[in-house]
Amino acid sequence: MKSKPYYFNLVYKRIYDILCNRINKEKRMKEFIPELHDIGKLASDQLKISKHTFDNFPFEEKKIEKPNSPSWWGQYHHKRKDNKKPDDWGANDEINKWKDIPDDYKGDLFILILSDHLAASSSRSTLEIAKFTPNNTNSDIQKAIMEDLGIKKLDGLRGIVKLWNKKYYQEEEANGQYWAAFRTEKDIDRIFNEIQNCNSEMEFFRKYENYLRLTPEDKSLPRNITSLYTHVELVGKIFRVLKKCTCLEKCGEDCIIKLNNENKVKSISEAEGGNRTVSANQDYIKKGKFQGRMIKCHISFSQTPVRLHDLNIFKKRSELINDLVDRYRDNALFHTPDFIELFLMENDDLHEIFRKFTEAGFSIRCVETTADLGILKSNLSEKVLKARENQDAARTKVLDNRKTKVKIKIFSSKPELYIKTGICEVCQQNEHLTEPWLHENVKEWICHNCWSIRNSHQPFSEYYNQWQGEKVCWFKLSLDQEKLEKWLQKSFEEYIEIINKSYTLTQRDALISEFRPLAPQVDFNNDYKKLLDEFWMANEENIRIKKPIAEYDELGVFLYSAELTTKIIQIYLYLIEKYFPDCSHDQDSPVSLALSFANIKYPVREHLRFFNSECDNFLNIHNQNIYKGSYSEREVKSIMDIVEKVKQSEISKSALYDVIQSFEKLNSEIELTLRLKDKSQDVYQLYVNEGILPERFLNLYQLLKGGD
Amino acid sequence: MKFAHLLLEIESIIIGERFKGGILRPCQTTIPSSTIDGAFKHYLGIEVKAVGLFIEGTYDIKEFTYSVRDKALGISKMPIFSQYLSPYRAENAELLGYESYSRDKILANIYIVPESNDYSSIKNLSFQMGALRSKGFGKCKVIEVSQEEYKIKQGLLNVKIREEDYEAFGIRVIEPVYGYLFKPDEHSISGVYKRALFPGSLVNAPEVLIEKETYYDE
Repeated sequence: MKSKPYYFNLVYKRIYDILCNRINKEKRMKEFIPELHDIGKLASDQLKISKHTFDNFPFEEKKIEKPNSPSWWGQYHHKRKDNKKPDDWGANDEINKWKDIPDDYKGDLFILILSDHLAASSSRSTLEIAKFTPNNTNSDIQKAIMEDLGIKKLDGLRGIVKLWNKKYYQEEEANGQYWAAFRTEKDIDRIFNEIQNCNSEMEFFRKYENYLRLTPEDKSLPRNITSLYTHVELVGKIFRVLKKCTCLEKCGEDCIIKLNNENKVKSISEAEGGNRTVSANQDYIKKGKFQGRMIKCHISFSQTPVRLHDLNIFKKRSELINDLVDRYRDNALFHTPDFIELFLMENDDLHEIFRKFTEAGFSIRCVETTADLGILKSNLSEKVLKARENQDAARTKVLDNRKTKVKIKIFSSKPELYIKTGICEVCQQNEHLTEPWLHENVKEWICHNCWSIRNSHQPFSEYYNQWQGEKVCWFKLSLDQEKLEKWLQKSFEEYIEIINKSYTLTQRDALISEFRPLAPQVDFNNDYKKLLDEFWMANEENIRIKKPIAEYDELGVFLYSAELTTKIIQIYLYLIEKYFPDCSHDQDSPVSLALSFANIKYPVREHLRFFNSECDNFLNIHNQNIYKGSYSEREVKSIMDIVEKVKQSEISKSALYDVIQSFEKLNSEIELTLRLKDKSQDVYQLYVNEGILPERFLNLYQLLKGGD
Repeated sequence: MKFAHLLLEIESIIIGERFKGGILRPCQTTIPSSTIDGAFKHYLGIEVKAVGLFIEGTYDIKEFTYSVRDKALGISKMPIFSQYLSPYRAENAELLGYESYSRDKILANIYIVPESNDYSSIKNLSFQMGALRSKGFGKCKVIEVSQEEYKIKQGLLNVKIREEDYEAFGIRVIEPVYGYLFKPDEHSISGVYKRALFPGSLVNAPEVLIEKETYYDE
């Protein structure tokens, strides 16, 4: 029989083991949080932190305990850089030379560096920063620049400059907001506390979202156009995608990183390859061993909504997108109601990712760019295609050697070779069911997919009951991603021109051509989401304005009245001025509003067809059987001013009809001017000053003024 | 790739999408192979493989309202709106190569294989194509016949063509967009919907059958 002390010892030992295990487990459980790597960018200048990392921080001198969490090692993401050559990512980048870093964390740091490079280089130019030119210190020029950028001090530009809302930061600052989360010496402890104790990226975003959105990823000109929020979010996503398919292996004393258990690398530059597609220096264009895929996915459907119920297709699409973004949270870099940008590795299966979409009858058109991580920018596909079109042999040779591919992939369910009985009248992609869908003695032959979409949700009852026989207006807010990319490029060029007035940009042209729109695009989309939210909040109490599909914020309908039409346009103008004051508000505008007026019997699909195919301006109008036209913001405001001005009186419409008819007949501008001057001074001024033809004025005027 | 090429003048035409149950018949802006071979079979008694395109800038979409009459019951059914293409020239339309043709007609190109047949005898032939011909729609006239050679290029397809026919047109599919086209049976009483390539498919094809040249990898 054992003695009591023996058992006590056993029990103590067991308790001790449990405690040790728990401590070790907690230590192990703590994840590496890549989003924390740039936390130093939230520290104000007063803290005098060298660069924005803390790898050289004098902990002993300051008597501060050095963090030891996994995330701490993220602070070394610039450590191996050669400071003399800040853009040379290849210097000192071999994993086995990172003597400061414990082996356990080398893998995470390696992937973090790849992710940071990829997120930064797919977001903005990595070329030079602006240098101040003493010749251009003329105070008038500087004043003009400050006016353009909405800043008080040219050398004190620290907050973000949104290309579409340049005064955004200044206005936020006036409202008491500030970019830096850590402003005084005392806040240093808080930084290290976050690095040590932060439990997840969500916690970090929750605490610091406002600061991250106000702080640019890089404060130097002209890189200060993307938010730190978007940058760290991208880094986190890319990190987790890369981590899933890479592992660190020990070969004796050495460490190697393996991708998909195949490609082995020891250095960053070996993994990425060079970061140029044309250069005399072979290092800049050498092939990398790690490739990634950036995929732009446009989601469409073949259903043409015949009945109100068929609008449920938007609900279905929204559900599927949310499901995909949930399942592939890190791969989905950003998304809108009909577009997803994905980051995938070589073995990820796009068929599987979109399987639920194709089963539900959706079609996905993808532009897939596969390239070495070193050159995988968000606009690489355009560059590759342009190089091929222009027969730029030097560039295409490098791209081919580096196995760069740009492909179109279209995913949809593969239909049968033929349909014998009858085709679905809504999607025309499947055989219809044997029983028709019946409504008011009208038989409709539709397929299983369209049937289930039609029956998934009841549309709002007013449309059928109270609004019968009335004129309604369907409206749609849109954000065109292709227009947005083009506009961002153009706007960046203008920004460079503004900076160039006072700074010397020796690589001006390269800067412009190297612009990558991804991160500003994400920021723009976030502001667009805010605009949509505020739009519906402003109309929340108005029961005559309906959102047919609760999950789809871009589409609405109201019982026509001049007052409501005016209100909708006014709210739109106000929100555009609030969120996108510096964006184009004409045919180049990525954001647009379309209004389509018709009797309630007019098919919904025709309203949608108008929205999808004929809206190319800031405001687009369709008044069934009367008029189709579009207007820039300036034109809308001028016409609304006149409507406001003549509220009590009335412009003689018949007189204007006469003028319009005579113009159509004679096609004489002189005749038009003389007659207009005689009939209506306001419309005359509008034509002479703004170039708005009376027909365009009258058609919008009638909708805003009401009556016959 | 060589095609026989016909240039058509058309007054107004309806090539409807399949009836969608409601009160509106939408209309297409391409001439599917099924429509042309139907017309040729009816008027000339020959079967051809052909595709067609209306020339952009020569038409506008308008609406026509009519009511189908049930002769057995002697009543008219619910009115239907049908879209149709109507001749139109935009103010600044740039119709390179087509300036000399009548401004009050829609213009369309038809491409036929095999090109070896002699189609010169059908110049000035008038025939009807599409829907609602009894109401006067679809009157076409062949105003030019030629044989032309076209380069093969990569691009997005701009016509609708049955899958069984596309190889004859020198089309090689890279990424398909599928739909269906109707193929009537021998007696034109019934028929089947056959799988077809639709606009937007990425193909290698004669340059006239694509929107613009592209440079994607395959």
